Amino acid sequence: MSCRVTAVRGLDGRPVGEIPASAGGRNASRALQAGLVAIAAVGTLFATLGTWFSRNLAYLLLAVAGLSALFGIRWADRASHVPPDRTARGARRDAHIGAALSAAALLVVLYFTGLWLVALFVWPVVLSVGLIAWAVHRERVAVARANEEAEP
Amino acid sequence: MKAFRTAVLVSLVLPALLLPGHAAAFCEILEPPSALPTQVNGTQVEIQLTEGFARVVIIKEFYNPSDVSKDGQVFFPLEKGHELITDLRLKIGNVVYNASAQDRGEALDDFLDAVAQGQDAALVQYDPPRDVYWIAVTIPPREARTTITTLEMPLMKRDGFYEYHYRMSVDARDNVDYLRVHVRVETAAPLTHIHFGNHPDLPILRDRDRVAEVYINDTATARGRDLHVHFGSAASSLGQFVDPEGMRYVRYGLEPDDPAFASSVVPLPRSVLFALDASGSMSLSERWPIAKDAALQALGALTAGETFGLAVFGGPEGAVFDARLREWDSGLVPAVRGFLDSLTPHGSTSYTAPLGWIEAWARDARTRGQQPVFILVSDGRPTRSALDLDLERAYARISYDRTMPIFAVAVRPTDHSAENLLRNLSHFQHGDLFTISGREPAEAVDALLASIRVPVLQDLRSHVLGVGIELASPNPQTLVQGGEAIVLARLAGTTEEPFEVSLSWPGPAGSVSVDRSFPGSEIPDQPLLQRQWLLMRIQGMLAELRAHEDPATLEALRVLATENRVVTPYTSLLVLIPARGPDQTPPPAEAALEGLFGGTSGLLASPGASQSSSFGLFAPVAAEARRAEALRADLSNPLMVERELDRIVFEGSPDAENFEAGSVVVRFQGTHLRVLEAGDELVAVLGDEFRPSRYAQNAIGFSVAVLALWALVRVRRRTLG
Repeated sequence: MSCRVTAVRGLDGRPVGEIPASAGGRNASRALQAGLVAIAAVGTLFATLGTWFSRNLAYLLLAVAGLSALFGIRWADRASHVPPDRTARGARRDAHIGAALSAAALLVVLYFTGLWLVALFVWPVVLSVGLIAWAVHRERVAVARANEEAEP
Repeated sequence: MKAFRTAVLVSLVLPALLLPGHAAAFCEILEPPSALPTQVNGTQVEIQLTEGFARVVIIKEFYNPSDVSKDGQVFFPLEKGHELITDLRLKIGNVVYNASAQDRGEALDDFLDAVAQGQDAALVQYDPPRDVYWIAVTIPPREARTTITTLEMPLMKRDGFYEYHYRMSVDARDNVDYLRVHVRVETAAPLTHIHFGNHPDLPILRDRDRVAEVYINDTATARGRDLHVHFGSAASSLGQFVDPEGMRYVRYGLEPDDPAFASSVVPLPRSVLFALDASGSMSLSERWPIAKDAALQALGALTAGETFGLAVFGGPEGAVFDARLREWDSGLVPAVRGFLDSLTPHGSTSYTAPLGWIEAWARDARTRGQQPVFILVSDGRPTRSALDLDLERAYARISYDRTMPIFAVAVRPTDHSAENLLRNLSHFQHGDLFTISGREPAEAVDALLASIRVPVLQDLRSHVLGVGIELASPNPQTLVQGGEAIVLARLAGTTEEPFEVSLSWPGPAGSVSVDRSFPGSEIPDQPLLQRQWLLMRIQGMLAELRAHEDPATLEALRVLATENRVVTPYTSLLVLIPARGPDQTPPPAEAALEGLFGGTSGLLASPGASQSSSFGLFAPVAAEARRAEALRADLSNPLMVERELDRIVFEGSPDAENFEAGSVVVRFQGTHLRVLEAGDELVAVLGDEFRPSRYAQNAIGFSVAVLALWALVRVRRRTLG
């Protein structure tokens, strides 16, 4: 059995999920910047360990790092789904570095806040939510790709 | 039962051992920490003053807001030779229960028995280890108890006036509802002068020419300002009283300017012995330059023929200007200044360190016929060697043995307790404390020099004519500048009989004597003379017993104090309330002691017993916050902050192991830091948390942050470009 995927258009007339070619470089740059911000926040947290440690500042830095890392990963992901022929090589590299930095920062945030322990305790929930999120994401990507292919 | 008795005894004595600096107040309330501590609902103080005598009645109302029975405790750090507790009453509702005087040991046994049986009781007793008098009063849950304590003391005339100080600010601090103070000065002869030093604006109510009264009815007035009463009368220092048993009490006082002494009064030259604190804390807040200026200014006031000694202590070693006592000469000023300038304050503080020098100089001064005067200049924070009571004992001993007053100059003391310690060391040793708060020591030094009184006449003997003479005043005695020689005698007779006294003393050209006779009808009545005689007599016996424990004197003191209901180190006052009815069962012993030993907030409760403990999720950030807090607490301990450490070593190092193998005293125990007193040094032993390797994570984190920000700036520039 085969099915044909047709382009689904939004109100603006553009296919849903389409990432404009120009957005590839922009997202990659954003991903890298977000990753760097996350790593800077984590580095500052390490720099203040010991007698200078402030719990409030630490939570602020962890929040900044966590949010930056999440946005970094999102932007890196968006950049990675732009077809390679429409994305500069440097942009892909930036997206990869941004994603790596964000992931590293996220791991530190998970460790320092103790959320990794929470995740460990409720791993079936985390796994289920993760798989659903991944499936939804893959579907959106597939739709976007189909839309692009369906375009004349 | 035995275990319960022991527990009650521990509960009474333990707080006493925890009491910091006992003379922090005239009267202080202490109990083990608890969520609902005993409240002092209010205090009423009645002060009655007359020529040579003070009587103070302190009425304190305690309330126990908790559900467990409590032992409220009031501490009276009474000055030796001054106040004695002469009565204790316990008021419950509208009923007042009187105390009975007993031998100290028996009274304590009876009190513990009563507490064990659930009876209410109050006990006033001397605590030898802490050298304080304390009142223990049992307070059932949600009930109030009122203690009525009477203190009496003889007042000595100084420069023609009497002075009485009451530390009212302490009562103001403790009270919940009210503090009322009533002062009544009533003299036998017309009252010529009355002044309230710290409260000059208080309205003084006069009743004829011999009575003055003052009322303080609000806590705000009392707070922060003690009561200093200064008064004088036109009396010829002569008074008498005859008690119902027919015993006559006569007091006769002579001042140095009495014509009889004219040819014999010669002030002893002074020998001023300085001990200057040059420890680490003196390097802060410009204390050291101020201390130097104070010493130089005081030295500058010496005259030819007077001597001085100068010892400086700080860290394990000390220094002296000269090992011998030096005759003062104004030409020595540059040398003394140079000596002091050559020293840099550092290390720990031991107030006993200079005592060896001071004692040797004091002996030397005595052999030269001079009056040694010890002046301690410090910020009031000894950090090693003898502390608290041991330190006070050391100072009391040297003062007593060398008949030497001790004065103290507090140089910008950090807090009230530092000032109090110096006060305890000086004020109780015939000297006083002078505080320099600003940068200029002149005012404090002038006041100190003005307050130094040297003997002008020694070995003055009195002989009263009559039947059954018993003198309460010392015989022989020493007359000091501005002081008064007193003859206080008890004898058989009536007020109409003449009073005849003979005084003799060694004069420049042999023994001098003078006879005085006064018609009985000319001697004014002084109703409190009997109490004055009694207290002076007991004080004399106590002084004798402090020097030599003579069994006969001890027995005589016990009898006299018990008969007259006076609390001494050997006698106590006990109030016992009749046992409760069968429907009023006493609280179980476990419940009574829970607040002390167990529960969630007891004195000895474990940290895990707290009800407020958090069960939050484990997070390294929270653990790091706790670690940081511990580190900061360790670093902010006063010994570190005030640079009192002589040496710093790391845990596990050979030096640290050497110190710990020997005999050490732990002066501070933190989480990652300990301060040990080892020999003459204060040694900080730092834990692994302070090792330099721990700072690598900070360096790495800082580098990563800087690099990331640098990269971020580059990326943004590239993007914008």
